[in-house]
Amino acid sequence: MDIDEEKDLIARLCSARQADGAFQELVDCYKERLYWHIRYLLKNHQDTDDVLQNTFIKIYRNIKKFKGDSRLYSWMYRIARNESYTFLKKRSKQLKISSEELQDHIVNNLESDVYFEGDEIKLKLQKAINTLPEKQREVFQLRYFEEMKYQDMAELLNTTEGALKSNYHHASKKVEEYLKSN
Amino acid sequence: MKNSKHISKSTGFKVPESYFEDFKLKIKDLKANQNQSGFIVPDNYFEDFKLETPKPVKVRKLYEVYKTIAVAAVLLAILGTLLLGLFRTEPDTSLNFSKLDQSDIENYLEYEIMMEDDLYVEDDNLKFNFDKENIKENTIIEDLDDSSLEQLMDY
Repeated sequence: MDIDEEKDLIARLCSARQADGAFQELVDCYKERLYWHIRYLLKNHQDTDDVLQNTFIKIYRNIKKFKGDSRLYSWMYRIARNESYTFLKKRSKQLKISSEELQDHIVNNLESDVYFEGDEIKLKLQKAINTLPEKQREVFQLRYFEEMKYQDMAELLNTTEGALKSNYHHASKKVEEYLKSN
Repeated sequence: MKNSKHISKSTGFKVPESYFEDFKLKIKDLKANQNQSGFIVPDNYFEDFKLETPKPVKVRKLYEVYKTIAVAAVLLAILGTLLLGLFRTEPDTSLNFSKLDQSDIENYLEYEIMMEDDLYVEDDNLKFNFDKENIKENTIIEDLDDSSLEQLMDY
């Protein structure tokens, strides 16, 4: 969706008569991309589905507050990201464990997850990613799994391309070391 | 993006078959939740909403007010001094009897000099005959009545 199409969609979302149709169009257009963003953070399909629903509900309720300072997708991505981290915090509180322990718990559950079809190396990769600090983990996933450009990533994460390259470089080294040593 | 419709080959994550095709947001429920309180707002209320902000009031600092008052007071004092200097005439210090009114002289004589005479009480009873031959010891006392004596005592 280019900028003009995006502006047209936003105008229709803010119009009382066309809002529902426009919102369905928005969901159809972005559901898959947002799903995978959330899934890489949460790893579990059912949790991802819940958070995706909440993300779209928030987008629906707040679309009139969108000021157009950034691309629509960047704004939605930030909502999805916040919803995901909020979900993880709630889950760690429910289980009375730290966020690091929760990440271990999630990765260990992957082996028995019916929606995980990974071999040993993929499981090991997930464990390696799990050792990364939060920021590096996010950058690594966006770059490695989604092959996102640094320029787009910089807008999403509100940082510089240089900082992102540095983060990705350090993350890659750590993942490589983990895979070699385990 | 590497992801196929239902599997991410690089990660091994899967989604149920036709998950994305069947994905539907519960918009009706969302709207129902929004209106469950029963409260409604007029059409285009939020679109037309404008905040009527009060006009900004200029706040003057107290020390600035004092400073202004002090400066004004100094200026007034200087102005007053200058005006007094302009309209003030030198007092005539030379003495000249021609400038005195007749009435002033009379008043002076009457109230300033004649006041000295008040010490003297005119009373015929107090007139003495100093002819020693005529004076007898008891005569003086007899001639003076009580009131005359009281008057004398007052002075």
